[in-house]
Order: sequence, then C-alpha cells, then structure tokens
Amino acid sequence: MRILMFGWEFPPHISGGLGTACYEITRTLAHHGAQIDFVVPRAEPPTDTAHVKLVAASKSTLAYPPTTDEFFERLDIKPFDSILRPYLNDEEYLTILNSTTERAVTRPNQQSVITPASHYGHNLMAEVARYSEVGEELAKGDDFDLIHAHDWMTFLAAIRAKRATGKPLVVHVHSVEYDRSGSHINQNIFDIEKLGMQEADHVIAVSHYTRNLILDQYGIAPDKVSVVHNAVSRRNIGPVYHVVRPRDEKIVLFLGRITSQKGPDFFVEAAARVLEKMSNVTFVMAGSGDMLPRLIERVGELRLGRHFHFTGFLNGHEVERMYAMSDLYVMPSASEPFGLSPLEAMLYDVPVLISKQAGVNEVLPHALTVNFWDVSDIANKILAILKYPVLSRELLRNGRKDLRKIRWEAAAARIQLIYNNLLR
Amino acid sequence: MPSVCLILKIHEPHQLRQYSFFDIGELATYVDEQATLTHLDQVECQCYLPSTQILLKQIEAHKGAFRFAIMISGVTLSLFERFHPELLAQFQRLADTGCVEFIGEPYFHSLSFHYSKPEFREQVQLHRDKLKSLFGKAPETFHYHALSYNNDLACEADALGFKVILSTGTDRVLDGRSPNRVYQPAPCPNLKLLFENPLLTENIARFSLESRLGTPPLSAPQFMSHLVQKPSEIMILPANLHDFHEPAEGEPQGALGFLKQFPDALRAFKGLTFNTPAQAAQDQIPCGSISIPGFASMEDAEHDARQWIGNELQKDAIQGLYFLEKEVKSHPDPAILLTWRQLQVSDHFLYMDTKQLSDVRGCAASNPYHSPYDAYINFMNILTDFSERLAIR
Repeated sequence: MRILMFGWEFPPHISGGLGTACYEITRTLAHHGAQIDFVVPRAEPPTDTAHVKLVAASKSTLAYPPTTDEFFERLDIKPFDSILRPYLNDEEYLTILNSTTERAVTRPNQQSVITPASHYGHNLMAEVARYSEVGEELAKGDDFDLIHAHDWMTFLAAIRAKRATGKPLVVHVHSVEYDRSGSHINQNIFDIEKLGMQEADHVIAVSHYTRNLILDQYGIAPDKVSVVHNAVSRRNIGPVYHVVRPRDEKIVLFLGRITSQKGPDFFVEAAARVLEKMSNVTFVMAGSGDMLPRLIERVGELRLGRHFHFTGFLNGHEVERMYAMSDLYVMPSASEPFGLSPLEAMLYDVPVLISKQAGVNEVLPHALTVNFWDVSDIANKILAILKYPVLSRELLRNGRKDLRKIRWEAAAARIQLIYNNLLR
Repeated sequence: MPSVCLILKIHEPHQLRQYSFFDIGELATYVDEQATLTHLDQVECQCYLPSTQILLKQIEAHKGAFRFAIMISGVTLSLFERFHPELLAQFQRLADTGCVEFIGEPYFHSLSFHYSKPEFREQVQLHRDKLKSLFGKAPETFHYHALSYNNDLACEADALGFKVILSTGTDRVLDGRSPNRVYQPAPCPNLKLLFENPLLTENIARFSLESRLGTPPLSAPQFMSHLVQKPSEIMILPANLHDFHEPAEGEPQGALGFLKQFPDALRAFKGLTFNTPAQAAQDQIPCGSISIPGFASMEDAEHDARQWIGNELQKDAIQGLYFLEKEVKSHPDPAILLTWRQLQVSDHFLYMDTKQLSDVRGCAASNPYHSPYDAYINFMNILTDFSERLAIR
C-alpha cells in the first residue's frame, strides 16, 4: 500500500504535538508495511527517517517543476524555510514573511538556500492556496493508493490531489479552528476545514472531544468520523537526568505554546494563589507565543518574578531535562483536541494536572483534572500534589498502567483498518 | 423448617462539603448540610416512604408470618431524627409490629475495628443505645462493615453481649461449607454465626440492569424459583432498601413491585418461613464451629474492606484520621469528638477507590466526587484543617 501523506515537521525540528504525531504515525504505518510519500512544507536533513520518503514540497513549486525521479533523489536536499508552519495564524505568517524578505535581501549569496520572499503568498491564505497547487502537481506525477492529510493547511492540497487522481482521501484532524481561536474563529480556516472533511472519504479525529466538535460544528456525518487517539513512545526517553536542585524547592511546569488556547494566564493566576500558601515553589513557563509579553508583565505586576522562570522555547533535550526537574506538570488548556505533553511528562514520572477540556483525558482515566477557568481549583490541586505526597505516588502508579495501554502501534493498526475499508 | 431472613440495609451518610486548600484555617464546618438534605429528600420520596409503607402493609396482611431484619446506621438514624421525623416514625411503626429485628453495628458505619478497638466498642455501644431508645429493644445480632468477619471480631461481639454475628459468604471463609446453615465461631461457644447468601443482591443487581434495557424487572415468583433450587436450613438475604425505589418515568413497576409480591410468593412454597436472624439462629443447633483467624489480606481480591481501605490514598487518609484519636479524646470540646467520628464514615474512603475508574462506573450512586483523587484531596484538606484546630485548643 502506498500512501501520499501531507504532513508536518519531522525530527529533529519539532515544535509541537502535530509533528510528533505525524512522525510516529508514519513510523508505525511503515512498520506495518505501508509505503509513504511524505509531503512536508519544510524539509530538514533527515535523521532516523528512512521509513518515509521526505519530499520537500517547497522545492516542487511550479516555478521549478522537478521530475518525479529528482524528487526522490532530493531526499537529502538542504532544506529551506517554507513559511507554512503548523499552528500559524495570519499575523505570524506576515511576520515570518517579512523577516524572510529581509534575509533574502540582506543575504543575497544564499539564494540557493533561501527562496526569494516574493515567491510566497502575500498572506497565509494565498500561501495555502499556492501549496495546494503543489499538492496537485505531486499527485499527478506519482502512483499511490490513498491520500492522507494532517490538519487544515494541507487540506486544499489533498483535495486537489484527490480530484486529480480520484484516489480516496483521509483527513486527520489534530485540532480544529475552535480549539485554536475559541469563539473568534477565522471563517476562511473554518471553511477549509469543513470542505476538507466533506470531501474526505473518511475523517480521523484524535479524540471523542474533537469528534464531537466535528459532528456538531461542521455537520459531518457520524459514520464517516472515527477516533484514533494519539499515543506516546517510550523509545524517545533520553538519559535519566540527575538534577541537582535545592531541597524543599518545588517546581511546577507549564510547557507549550504561550497562546490563549493553552491557558497560560490561568496558570499564572493559579500560581499566585498557590504562593499565598506556600513560598518554596518555582513556576516554570517553557515555550513561546503571542501571550508571553503580557504574562511576563502580569507576573511583575503580582510581584512574583522571583518565583517564575520563563525559559522561552526549549529543544528536545532541554524539554526532557525540564520534565525531569519538575514536581508537577500543569496543562490548563481551554480547548485541547488531544494533548501529547501530559503523556510525555508522565514518562518522566511527573504527575500531571490537566484541563477537563482535553482529549487526552479519554485515555488517562487516572489523571487529575480541573476546569481550565477554575483558578482556585487549579491552585487547590497544585497544593494538594505538593503537600500530600501519597497523591503523586498513586497518580503515577496508576498512570503508568494507563500509559502501557497507549501505544502508537495500536493507533497505526486502527488507521490501517480505516485504509483497508476505503480500499476494499 | 427452613427460614428465609430478609435483611434490609439502610445507610445514608452526610456529605462532606467541597473543601479547598484555601478553606484550611478559615472554615470549621465540614458537612455539606444542603447537599445531604437534598439527597435525603430525594431518597425519602423515591424509596424509603413507599417501601416502608409496603412493608407495613405486608406485615399486617400476613399477621406475623412476614418477618425480616433491618440494618440501619447510627448516622442515618440521627439524620432521620433531625430532618425526617416522619420517616423515623415509619421505622418505629415497623419496630412496633414485633416482626422486625434491628441489627447492631458501629454507630458511624466506620472501619473502627480495623484501627481502634476502644473506639469500635464505644461506637457499637452508641448504636445499641440509639436502637434501644428509638425502638425499645437492644440488638442481639451484630454485623461489622460490609459483613467482614474474623475470630477477634466474634470475641468482641460476644463480649459486647450479642448472640448472633453475620459474615460474608465468600469462598475464603466458607471453604466449601454451605452458607445456609448455622455455625458457631470457634473461640465463642455462646455466639452463633450466620453467612449471607448473595442470591437476592445478585438478582436485584441483574434485574435492575436488565430493566434499564427494557426487559421486565425481577418478579418475586421468578426469584423464588431460583431460591428453592437449593432449599436449606437458613437463608440470609441482605439487600439495600435503597434498591426498592419508585420506577423512573416510563419504566415498568420496579423493585417496589417485588417487595409487594415477595411475602405471598414465598409463602406459596410450603415449608418455607420468614424469620429474623436472631430467631432463626436460636431455633437451630450449630452444625459445626468455624475458625477464621484474620481478615483476608489486602492483596486478596476477596478482601472484605479492599474497596474502602485497599489503596494508598485510602490508607493515608484513614490512618491520618485515627492517628488523632488520643488528642481528640482528651479534647474538652465534645464537638471535636463528633466531627472526628463523622469523618470515620466509611463512604468517605469508598469514594477514594481508584478501581472504579478502571471498571465500569460502579460506585455509589450518591458519590459527589468527579474522581477518587478529588475525594482524597477534599478529605485531606479537611483533615489538615481538623488537625490544626485540634492543636490550637
């Protein structure tokens, strides 16, 4: 079976759960014998990715149409920044576009690596539309059985690939516009999501939570939408960290994009409440995002600077080290289709406190949960974890049993089943 | 003549309030009276009033031939006394018929025998006094939490003046013996030991599940046909009175109908009689003695109290509570002792059972907590506040 997959990010440059999920899904599917042509807007030098063909979509623009064979030879092509990235919004897109322009101007000698900015769409939607043409071109030149696309930015490309070839289309929904933007949805994005799901022969949702949104808000037929929960792989656990830190100092961690979807403001307010009762706690906020400046300001206003540590974006090893140092991981997301990071934290024996509005709860019956807006309950539960050690021990002991059941192999097997049904 | 002993269990605990870490040191009341009363109102209408009415009528109709026993915790009695005197009066009417035996237990429906023998004795005595003052008669039959049983418990019951003790009928204690006979606890020649027969409980559970699926609920003749397959000396049939409730809208006449039919259905079988445990035990000579040195170990799936004190959260909470006994009992304020005892009600620990998360949601219907971890946090916050208050004086 050969799959044309439109996905995102590959190690070592992974900025979020979507990249990890794409990587693990392709890895396990390949293990089950599927052949995957993986189209990614931003290709980096491959590491440990022999199971898929990395196709640098941004090299296949209509301006430089390569032959199919060249594609495969370009597996080790030096990547350049295609400016589509997951979780991008219009504003961020323009920021990246502008900075790319500057670089292209100031570093003309590297034009072999950096595409002139004029090449890109003048806004996010234009770039997505441009990318969709790439999808069609690619699809025409290749022989495959099925198309699989991850999240909205790839949907137009996948739809065009489907229309060009008549092959069945699976769209994989890792998040919807409602998750990212709450009530302020971007109608264009919503429409693309809806179109993708309508055109798809089957829709995969990462949780029942997401599936319900798909049924309720997008009106997709229930029998077309399956749930395949994400998973977590122990394989990636790095060396055990022996972290030296002051005794009696507790560390509570927030790790993720600092955007309203992830609820970082609730974390800060809850921290302030915790510090009323306990002073030996440091709150670490790891990640970056549009809300970061405002939150730093808020922490200052609360005069809690010495209890806060803003690390900015952390890379893989730093993330592992951060988990290893923490006494508790908090994920107060306002809307979270799945949320891989609590599973990762648990691999480092860190208990987790997660929002009830997170799909990951569906696979973690033994997690401690809160309503994301309930600042005093978040604080109450942080204090309980820090003050009652038996609670952490029991959460971890039972959580480990949950974790053993959450495997990517199981997810891949379910996806494979969906493929088989479509191809029958 | 073979006796059937129907035992109706009633236990309605007070609920603890949502008690946040931020309430520690601020809030000295732990019971959510409003939630407790709302729940009581509900079960009174749906269940206890109609069911006791049926029982009274059946006793009257059968002129002394319909007899049974009631297990009711002291906390429940005091709640009825304070808030539902009309319900208490129903139970007093039942007692007045002379056809109902009331069974003894620790007043606060606690696991005190596991943690403090002196406290256990005091609570059994409190409950005995309560039964005596409300129903005019001291109990003769005893049961401990969830019918847990061992030799030491039998000795305690004996010393406290009971004549009969009840036990679970698990394979571990029965070891191949019939549950439907009268035994004698090895260390106590004056005491008689009876085992529960889970047939009724199982049938009610099964039929109530099926009735939700649309099939007709348990009928008394059906049940009798199960029961008489293995007729024997004595059959102890415990059931929650709670389970005999008004059918929900659209449901067929539920378990209440069973209660109406049961006496007639049973008496249709010649040679079977209703009896109370104390009377039935008195009529029989024990067929042998049984020695059960200890409770089942915690790892044993059959452990009688595993659901309550099997995991680390439950052990931490309950040990923390009993650790305070000495201080509580030397405290001049009697309210402190009452509060400490209210915290011993076993339901608080049942809510911390994490197994319910892995199984189908099988916990008590009145469980106010979203998760066992929430139950533990709430209890520990209260316990922290209570210890601090205890230390102040």
